[in-house]
Amino acid sequence: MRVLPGIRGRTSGVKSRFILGSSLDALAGVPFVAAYGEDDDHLRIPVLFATSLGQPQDSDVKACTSPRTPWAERLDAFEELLQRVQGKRPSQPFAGLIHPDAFPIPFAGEASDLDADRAGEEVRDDPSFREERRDLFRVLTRSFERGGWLLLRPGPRSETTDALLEAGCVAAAMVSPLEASDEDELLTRTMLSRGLSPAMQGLMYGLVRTGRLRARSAAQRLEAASPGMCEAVAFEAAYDALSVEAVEAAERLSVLRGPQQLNGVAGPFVVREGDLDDLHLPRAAVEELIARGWLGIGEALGGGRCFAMAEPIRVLLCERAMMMGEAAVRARHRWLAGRGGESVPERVEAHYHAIECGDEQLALETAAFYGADLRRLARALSEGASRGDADKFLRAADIYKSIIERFDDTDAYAWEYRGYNLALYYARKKLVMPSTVEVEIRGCYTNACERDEDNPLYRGREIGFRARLGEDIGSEFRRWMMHFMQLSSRRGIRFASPVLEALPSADARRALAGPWLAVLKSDRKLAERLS
Amino acid sequence: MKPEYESLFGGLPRPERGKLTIYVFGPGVGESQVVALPDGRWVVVDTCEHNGVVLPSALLDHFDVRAVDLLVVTHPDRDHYKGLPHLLSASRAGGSLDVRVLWRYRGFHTRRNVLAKLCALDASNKRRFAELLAADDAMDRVGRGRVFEAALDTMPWSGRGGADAGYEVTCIAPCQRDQAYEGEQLAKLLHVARDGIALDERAERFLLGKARGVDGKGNPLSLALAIRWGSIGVLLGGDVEAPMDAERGWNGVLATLAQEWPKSPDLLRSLKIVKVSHHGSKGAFSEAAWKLHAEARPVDLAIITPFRGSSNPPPHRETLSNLGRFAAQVALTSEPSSWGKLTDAGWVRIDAPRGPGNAACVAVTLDGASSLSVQASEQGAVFVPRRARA
Repeated sequence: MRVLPGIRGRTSGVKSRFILGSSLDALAGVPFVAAYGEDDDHLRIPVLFATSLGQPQDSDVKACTSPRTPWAERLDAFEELLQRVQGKRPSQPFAGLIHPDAFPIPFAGEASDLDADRAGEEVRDDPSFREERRDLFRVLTRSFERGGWLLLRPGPRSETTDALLEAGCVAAAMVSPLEASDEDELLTRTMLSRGLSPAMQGLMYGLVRTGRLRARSAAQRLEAASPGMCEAVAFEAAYDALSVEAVEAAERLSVLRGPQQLNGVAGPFVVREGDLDDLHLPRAAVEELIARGWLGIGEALGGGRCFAMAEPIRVLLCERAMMMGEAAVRARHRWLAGRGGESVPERVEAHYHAIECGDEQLALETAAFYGADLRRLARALSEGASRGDADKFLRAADIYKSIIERFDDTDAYAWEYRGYNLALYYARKKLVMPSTVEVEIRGCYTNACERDEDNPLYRGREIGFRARLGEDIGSEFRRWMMHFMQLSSRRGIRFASPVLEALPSADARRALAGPWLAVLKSDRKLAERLS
Repeated sequence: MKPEYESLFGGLPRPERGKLTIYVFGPGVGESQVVALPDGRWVVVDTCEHNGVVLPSALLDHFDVRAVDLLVVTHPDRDHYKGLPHLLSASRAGGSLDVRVLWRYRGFHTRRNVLAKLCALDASNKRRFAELLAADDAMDRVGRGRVFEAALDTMPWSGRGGADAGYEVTCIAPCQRDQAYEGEQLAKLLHVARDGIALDERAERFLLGKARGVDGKGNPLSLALAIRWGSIGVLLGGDVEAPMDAERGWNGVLATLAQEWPKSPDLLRSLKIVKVSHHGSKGAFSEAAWKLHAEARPVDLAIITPFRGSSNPPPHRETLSNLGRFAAQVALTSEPSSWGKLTDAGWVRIDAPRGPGNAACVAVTLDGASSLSVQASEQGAVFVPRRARA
């Protein structure tokens, strides 16, 4: 078992518990928030917990919810908030988290994904998000250690289980929802032995409970699945058995991140008798989804029923919905972004939907608590620009500018890609770059490097940009090359690539590469440029 | 009976209460079976067209039938669903058909997801897959609570009479292994389509139910039905094949039935009528299955729906030859050009009753005892082994 760094002593009298399952009933009585494995997890979760666990006037709550709080400060404030709340309520569960397995796991002494990404070839990634999610999980793990958490795990991963056990969490038993006949026990045993996730187990139980499949048939089908394909086979069996109306309702609900109200409505959709349309879901279809285990049901903290779709299921349904029509899915997100709502969760989700529908204006307008996830939108624009429409580089650059100006001027990624997209815009359009733009790009790259000093890509682009302008960067290149090569050859390659690309000829590249020529040639792309 | 259908169905028997009548259509491309049950209920398995006429639809109209108690779509191969939208259309000549239960193949929704994505990627796919998309839409209209994905583990159907009906229609394929295999193949196909990668020919053929899986290891899809009425056993074999894999196709069916759960091998034992699977192709013949079918005595009648068009269309000579060991008679629904194969395989044509209708049909009537009468339409023919004739 690997050891997590920085775990503090337990102060709560009740241990944190994790429950393998997807029923929200397991979280009854505590405020809970879900992780999704999406880019905004680390931004959203502190905001939602701050508003549900603290008071608006608390300084840590203010820090967690203010759009201008830099990431590092936000993280510290969130940890303070959790310590404060846990200190007050030592003897009972105080908060719930759904799907802790969505977080990347930090381990002492291991290279992080950030290292890997910095060394890899992909230049349009956003490893900082993953690193920040990892940071948040560190904070959460320390809080789990102090006790009082209920963790619902519809899609457990073994490394997360290790981390939770190391943090002193205890596993709570999951009870089979079936009668304990021999057949049912066979199914339960088969699902466990094949490592089927609780979310998919719920779907199999749903098939059996509603008479669509005998328990023994379900077990046989799972037994017959090839190794590694059990989840797919279980999902396919359950999906296949849904009515057309339920499939369409499920695909509509998959754009929603739970928990959602369930009381004559299913989230923003009105539930009624009759046919499905953009605003309404047929009652029978929703009931079918509940009975078949597609929606985890529970009690909302303020009373009334609520539901959430387990993340492993939602991801697959989102995929299907996108296949059936991306435009329809984006239209749904746009509608949800524009629905309004005053509560913090509603505003957070409106912003998420605005980004998902790709509406820049709406995304900027709805960014109430943080702006860093606007990066996703900017990155999508930048990728679109690479495929042909160069104007999107400029729109992406404008979004990064908004992130810096309105939200977080410590965001190295935003500085870097503000500059990078501006430079690409002028290059692709073959426009003469005005001196003011030249100065701005240089400033962006410099700011990015100051905020993330050891990022080889940022440093390489900064020096490469100056090389393009005709500056002599030879000594600087050698100094930084030595630095990054000491860390790893992959970092050296990543640093050198944008610098060498900026040079006009292979001769000039080889001359600059100097003693590192052989190492740099080990990279396929660089080998072409150096030969 | 409607006179306008005389040219199609002239000479075929009328259904009668207390008798089981099976109409097997096979016009050279595709097949369909219509079953008139002893209590007046109707089962339709697959649809096919002949000269622009959807044969099962026309037959139902011919007999003024307005409701089908069980409609079975065995797999999404064009020669088994051609005309399905018409059958389920409100504008058909006989008026809207009330389908009380629909059994369809597994993976319907996922296939539809993939098709939608493929059509979005390339508009020409809308035309190429138009008939399948229309068939999917038609099945959607059958209505909530009436549609089931059938397989070997589906509970038998016996109309509204339950056990009192005296008969049971049981789905005996695909087996569990084929279902899991199908799920895995669809998951792979889904990833290909999601990532916008063009389908290769084999994947496309799999999607259309024509190929032996994306990786070429056997068609896992087709449903097959066993009908039991008292001591009478009938098998409508769909397109179930017999791959080498011991757990797939007919082998998988027999292995599962041998476990006596959820169904017993008796369903395939000592049969009276067999609609030979996959048009009598070589790859669909299962020695083990036929041994069971003919365990007590030869199967009274094996009906084949021959194919035309390809270089060596089914039925295959080897299958025809093998059938000589297990069946007392073989009937072909059409394709006189195939008769020579039967002769080569040791069969000889007999003068069975043939009507003037040209619906490419063989009809069998069973009275509940041992009596069986066979009638064929104009293109059909009945054969017996040469030694029996001698």
